[in-house]
Amino acid sequence: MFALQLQYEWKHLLRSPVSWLLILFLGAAMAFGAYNGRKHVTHRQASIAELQQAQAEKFTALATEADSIIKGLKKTDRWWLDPTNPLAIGALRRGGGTLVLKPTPEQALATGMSDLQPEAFILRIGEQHPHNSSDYDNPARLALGAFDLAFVIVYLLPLFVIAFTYNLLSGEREQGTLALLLSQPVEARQVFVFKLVARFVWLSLLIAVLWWPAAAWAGIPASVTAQALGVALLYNLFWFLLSLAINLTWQQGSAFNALAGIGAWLMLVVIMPAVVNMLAEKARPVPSRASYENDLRELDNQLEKERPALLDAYYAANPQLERKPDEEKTSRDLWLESFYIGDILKERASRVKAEYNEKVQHHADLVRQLMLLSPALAVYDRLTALAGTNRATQLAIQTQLEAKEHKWSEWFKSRYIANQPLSSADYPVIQAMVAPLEQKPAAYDHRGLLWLCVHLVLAVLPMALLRRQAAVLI
Amino acid sequence: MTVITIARQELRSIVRERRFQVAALVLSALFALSLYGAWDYYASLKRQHTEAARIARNQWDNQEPKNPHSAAHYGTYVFKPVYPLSFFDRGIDAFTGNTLFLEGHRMNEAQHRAIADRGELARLGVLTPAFVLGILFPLFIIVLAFNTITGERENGNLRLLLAQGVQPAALFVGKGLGLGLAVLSLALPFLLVGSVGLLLPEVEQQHWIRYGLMALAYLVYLGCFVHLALIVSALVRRANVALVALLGLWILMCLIAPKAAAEYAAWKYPTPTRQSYQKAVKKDLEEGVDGHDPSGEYSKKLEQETLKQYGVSTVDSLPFNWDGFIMQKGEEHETYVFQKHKDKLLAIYQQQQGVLETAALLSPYLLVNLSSQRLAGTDVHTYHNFLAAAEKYRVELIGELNNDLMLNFKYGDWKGTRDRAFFASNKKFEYEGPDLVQAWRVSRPSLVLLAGWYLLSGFIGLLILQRIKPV
Repeated sequence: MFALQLQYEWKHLLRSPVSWLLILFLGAAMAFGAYNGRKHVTHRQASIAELQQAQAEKFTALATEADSIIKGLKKTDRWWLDPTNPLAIGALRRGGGTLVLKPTPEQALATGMSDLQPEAFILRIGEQHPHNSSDYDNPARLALGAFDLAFVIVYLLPLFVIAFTYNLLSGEREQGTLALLLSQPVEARQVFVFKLVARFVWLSLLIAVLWWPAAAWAGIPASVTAQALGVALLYNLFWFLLSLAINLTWQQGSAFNALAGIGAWLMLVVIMPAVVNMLAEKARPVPSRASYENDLRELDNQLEKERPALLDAYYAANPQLERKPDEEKTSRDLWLESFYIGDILKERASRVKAEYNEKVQHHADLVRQLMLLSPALAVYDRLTALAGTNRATQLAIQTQLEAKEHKWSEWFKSRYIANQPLSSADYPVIQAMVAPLEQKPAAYDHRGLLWLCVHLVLAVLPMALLRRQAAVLI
Repeated sequence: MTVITIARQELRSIVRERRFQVAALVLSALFALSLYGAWDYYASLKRQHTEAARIARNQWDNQEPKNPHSAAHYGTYVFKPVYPLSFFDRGIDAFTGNTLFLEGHRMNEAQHRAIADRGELARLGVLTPAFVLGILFPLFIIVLAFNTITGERENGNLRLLLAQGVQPAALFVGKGLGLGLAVLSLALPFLLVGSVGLLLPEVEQQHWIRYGLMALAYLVYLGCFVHLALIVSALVRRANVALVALLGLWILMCLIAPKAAAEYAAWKYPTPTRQSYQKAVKKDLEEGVDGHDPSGEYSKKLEQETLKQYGVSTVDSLPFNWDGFIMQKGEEHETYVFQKHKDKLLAIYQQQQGVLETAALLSPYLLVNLSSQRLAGTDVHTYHNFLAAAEKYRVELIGELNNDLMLNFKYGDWKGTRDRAFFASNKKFEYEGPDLVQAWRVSRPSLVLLAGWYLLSGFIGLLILQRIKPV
């Protein structure tokens, strides 16, 4: 009999022009979302390829030039352009290595924070400077938000589900088929449950059938596509149950159900996220970056004042170095001093940074706790985690980046200190130090998924409570 | 007369309905919440930036004695101004850098966008008064108005009304008026309470006028939705269908159209990548004087010309310090190049906004969104106005330092220093923001289009009502 129900629901679906319209709408939205996601990733890839190529060409040229200089075929009178000088390559603004962040194809799933993420970092001794194309993006566009697959799932999918379920029971009553159904020689409850399951199965299949090609076209790997589909289907189940609960709880007409469904959608998808962000802003404000910059600058000034005392300590610790009066210091003396002072500055700055980052983290943590207030937040959280466009992934990249910068700095400093000019053989080593970083999604803590399951249970609850009432209705 | 009667009747029946009371209550609560959130945001950001600006200037004034050109490299910070109306509409505020580092030789990009310090979930929206009025209020209108005409038709009143000789136009205007009054009964208090941010003592008068225009824009926008609701209600036979159709329109206009149009605009008029932008800047920079490279081609040329002009043979016999002179010439060239490319970028943004304004044919939300930001000073133009002012200030400040180097230091003397008294006397960054005339010029197109939307939708409504069938 279940097969019959499935067949009936399928015919019902196919014969209604409204359902075709809805399918078309969701399909078009997914296609557009996939197109934008894909474009976002390919745009980034192209820009990165350009950067990498420029860097490869630059290093090849420098290696050749270094070779000629060492062999005495070429002379250079400007040290800051000399490719055998470790400082010219490792420390100066003209030098530096470009470390690109390779976008993974799954980023097409959810833009998340990737639209602000620099596509590369320029490493120099003691610093990593972001190379960020989004500095030139129209902020008005960023503010309006991306139309990506995550948007389609989080915002539009519930509407699709509501449209297919708002008259699940009320429709039968309004058409007069409910009485007919009840007069059949089968148990009404069974018919009813089968009908629900059949509707849900078709709905899920429809979503899967629309989802798969869209995600494939966006270039998202199959495993991520499958996981995202899993999340979408759980979300689908949530809205299905909610719509059902609305049908059962009030037992009103279809118009009322549609309105209540939209109301729930509005509350959970549109209003709640905004409220959550506002609450988090109140309870755990993000510290001011204006004062952050001033604090860092204050460190600079402080260090400038402490400089003589710090240098005393430096020369005491390095008795092999001769301390000269300021006027007689060579540029080498000054550079060596600056390495020392730079390390101290970096250490102190990292403390200021940690202090600010901790507050930022507190804010982010609270928002993630408040995910409990809306399944939309939980789903978006999961999708950005799958796409590797969430905060956690950015933090993981930042850690890797710091390690790379440290390696770069130490390598160039040691070459300069040891007075070893760079040769063409060093350039492959330098290039390896700025090998691209893969933006692999960070480990997921499953909190979002957990909350989503809680939401599912909450959506089932009213039905359990209403079993009696439902029995009366049927 | 009939118009007034219909309007009065409409208003009375709406206000009596439970759904009006519930929806009004919910909306008021959300609006109050949004004001509370916005108020704190605005006040603390304003305080932070004012304080930071004071500290930054203090750091400049009290820097260790150094050569004027070293001070140019030391640089200083300026911070994005916070306008009083940003509490109402944050616009692009969270997406633009808050701090700008000013130093010799280069125009930096502003850093630290507020949104970057929030997690990915912050992208799902913030509750602001503009959000409540622009996105949620139309839903309120839809819930009130979806059955305005279908309801009359369904209970047979429409036939009676038309049989009594009521003109369809009178019906449209009367119903529109009644609905409009119901909307005003909620929107006006909102807008009045929303002006609370302007009560601070230091707020200029122009912001009151801007707020007045903003309020007007929102009212006209809500009027568009009254027209839309009437049109759909007249076209569709059943109230259920009218409701679903209106909700569909709302989703399309307020949710899908803005994002879709923004994506389309970005693909149609792409902004440059960082490398192509920097490459273009670098190319232009190389075609001019570099103050740190006196042996460069353009520096040599400038040297020849200057020597000829002063009738001397070497730069050290010039009546001023050649280093300072060439430094300033380099700066002038650099800032010309930087500003040229920034303006090019702004032109691309303007093309993108042109797409949004065209897409506004599909969605008046885009228009009210643009108008409101532009009037609140949280739009791209106002932001660029700040960047340009900061760049102008940078050139003046660095110019002051170079001038000092040129007139008061000997050629080749890089060791000479200036003390705190000198740095404290340097020009200060005083920025007011665009005036009312500029704001009006920028926001006029979207305001005019919005008014056009209102009139056109009203006109179409009248046309459709003319052909209304009583059953």
